[in-house]
Amino acid sequence: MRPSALDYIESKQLRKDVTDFRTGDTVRVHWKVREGEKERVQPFEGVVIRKTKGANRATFTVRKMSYGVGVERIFPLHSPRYERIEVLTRGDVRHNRLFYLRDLRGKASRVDTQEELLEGPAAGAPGAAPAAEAAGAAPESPAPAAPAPKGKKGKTKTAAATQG
Amino acid sequence: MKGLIGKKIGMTQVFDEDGNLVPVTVIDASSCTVVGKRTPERDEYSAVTLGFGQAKEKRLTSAQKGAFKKAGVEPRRVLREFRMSPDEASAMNVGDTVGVALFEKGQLVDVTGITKGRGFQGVMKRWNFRGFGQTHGTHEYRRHPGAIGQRKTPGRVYPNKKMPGHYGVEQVTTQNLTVVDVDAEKNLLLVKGAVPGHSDGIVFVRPSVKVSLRAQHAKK
Repeated sequence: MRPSALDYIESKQLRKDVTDFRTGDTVRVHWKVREGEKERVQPFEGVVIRKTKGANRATFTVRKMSYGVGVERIFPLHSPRYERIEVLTRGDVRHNRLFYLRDLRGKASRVDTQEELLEGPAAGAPGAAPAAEAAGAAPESPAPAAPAPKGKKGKTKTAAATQG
Repeated sequence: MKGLIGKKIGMTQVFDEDGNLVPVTVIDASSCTVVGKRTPERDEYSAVTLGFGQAKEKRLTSAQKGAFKKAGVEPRRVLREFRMSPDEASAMNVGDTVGVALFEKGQLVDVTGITKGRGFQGVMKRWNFRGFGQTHGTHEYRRHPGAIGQRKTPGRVYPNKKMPGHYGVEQVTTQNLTVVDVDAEKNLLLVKGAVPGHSDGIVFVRPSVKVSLRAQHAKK
């Protein structure tokens, strides 16, 4: 059995403002970079291809295409080093870990988006406002007012990663 | 030198001030109390005996029972003397609890424990020998020790030659581990890196010997 003291130590480290997102979602991580004395925010935007569990040790992997080169970055989910995580689109994926994206290039590497998820449960979440904004800005997104009926997923193709 | 007896709880990771994820070993020091003292007048040296963990009455010898009764403390399962100067020892009384507040964040400590038993092991695991090439015609000699001596002179193998044998279950001290955090409330000590022994094993934590030696040299 896992000692409760470890759980206690780990629970103290948890961030309270963890954004709700899943694999397949396109997110923007506002990572804080320290340069000498100064601190600035460096966003990293891409598809979440993996989320690992484990209290304060939980991580997620974001993949993006940068100048035609795939770049993956692993972030600790409870790291104090990021300012916030913005959910740009909700992905409609069938797998928990999207490693197959590594073998795909161009149009094939896009992830289906799930519009109703973006406006549904995410509306209550703190990250909802920027997420909805981003959806509205996307050219293919439908009218935000109409909630998609069940069984009929409002699927639209949007670029999974920022095209370099 | 002051110190305490603790129990290794296990390892995890925590974020430090800079947001770096640091591997830590959690040591529980609750129930660590002073059960006796050695004084220069009576014992010709100065030390404090610390006890840790609850001992069952029936497991004690009558001599131990008497000693605990005389000291007026609860029977403890683990006992260990910590040599310290008479000044340091005089500040501690029998019955006092010794908590993790003894240490502070950022301090370097030495942690002593009994390593995990590994059974009968060959020279590669036990003594970090290199072994032989896995290919290029090596025949049944991949993990062997190689030559263990000379010829007719001396005609014997030197004592303490590193050979296969039992490995583990020995006392090992890991020096200069940084104290990452001190939780005085729950009596937990977070030490950076690994500590000898298995989880639930008994460990002894003392301030770093090297740091204090360096301080002594600086004074001179």
